Amino acid sequence: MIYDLIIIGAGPAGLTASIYASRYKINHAVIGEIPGGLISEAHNVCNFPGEIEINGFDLMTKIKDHAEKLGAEIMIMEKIIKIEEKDNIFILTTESRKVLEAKNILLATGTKHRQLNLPEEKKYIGKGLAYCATCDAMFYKNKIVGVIGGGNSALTAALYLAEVAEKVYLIVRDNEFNGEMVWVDHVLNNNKIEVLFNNGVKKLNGEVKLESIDLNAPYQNSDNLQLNGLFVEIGTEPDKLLIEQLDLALDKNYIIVDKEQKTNKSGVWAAGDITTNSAGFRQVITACSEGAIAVFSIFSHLQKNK
Amino acid sequence: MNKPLDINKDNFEKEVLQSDLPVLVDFWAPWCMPCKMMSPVLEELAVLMDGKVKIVKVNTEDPVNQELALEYEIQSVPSMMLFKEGQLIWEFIGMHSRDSLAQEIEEHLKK
Repeated sequence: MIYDLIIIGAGPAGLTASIYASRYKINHAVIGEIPGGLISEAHNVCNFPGEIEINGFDLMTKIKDHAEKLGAEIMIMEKIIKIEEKDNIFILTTESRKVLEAKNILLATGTKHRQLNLPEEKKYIGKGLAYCATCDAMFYKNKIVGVIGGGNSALTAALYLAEVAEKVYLIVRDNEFNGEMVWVDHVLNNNKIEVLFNNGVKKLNGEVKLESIDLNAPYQNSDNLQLNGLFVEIGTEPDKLLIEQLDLALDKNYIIVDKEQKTNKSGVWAAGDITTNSAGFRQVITACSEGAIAVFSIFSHLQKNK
Repeated sequence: MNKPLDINKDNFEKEVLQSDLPVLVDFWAPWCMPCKMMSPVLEELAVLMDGKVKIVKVNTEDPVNQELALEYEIQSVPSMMLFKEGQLIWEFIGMHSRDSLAQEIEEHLKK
């Protein structure tokens, strides 16, 4: 069977796209490596309309259930590793060697955590270096930890860690935060959190486990800071694999799309955190919106090409 | 059908260290969202690798298991550890897709 549309990615953008595709009766499937996307890791989502406070996993479960209820074929645990185009049909191969065919594709593969890119980084993963505060905070009860980053994820990670840790150093590259004022106020009023503006991590130190970090700029006359754990919250970046295979036009690694979410390649749309749209404001609601707009455009395209 | 088995400190020795089959141990915690996301992945992996690998889960929040978590120096969840003939042969942190996990396990068991 050749699908009219295959949506790659099962996060907010991909699943919302599926909801709209089902309503427009577009013959489609959703393929996602892991259910939910990055938002599933969020401890608390407080800005999604209709949900005053919900954790990311529960929110994504609701969106997935909604998409499934409308009849979507959702293939979770399948990773697309290859996309080829032949006679205007896209041929997609999964890691488990399944082959699927589609007339159009919507790329909604989102982003992954950005790493520090320090040569010694790998050595300390799970040994003091962490990328998910909600997962690992409890292992740092009454310990000293650092958080690096200045956006919402860094602010919320620092607050979450402050609930259990003895002390939290929040290391911010710029001279100000880049997150919601509500979180900034909470951080500045939390006496367990100490903010180091205009600073960064130069080196990680420790025999087996992380024991200290070298800072870019001295703090209290020393560029070495002793801590038990460091949480990296310096934003996200897209996975390049499929983008490169499709030869899509990019701006700083993000897919350039027009106002209808069309990429430079015919038959390929993109939505969610992976695109340049929504002014780079990468939120669940903007991802959902882009997914909906993409499907509206795909529907028009299918109608014209009947 | 092969399904992930919940174990604890009391049967860790029998189910993991003395197991005839290689064992993948998932150290997880109820508050950890990626652990929840990995749960269906491990269920499918158990079916895919039936007869080759046993999959067990250790809840690190359970006070009974905290000694185990300390012994294996768990500081991140999900932490997966692959044991063969009682020896730890591979470990990794975080999420993996079903197929890449199966591939990695096969490769480490061959060594």
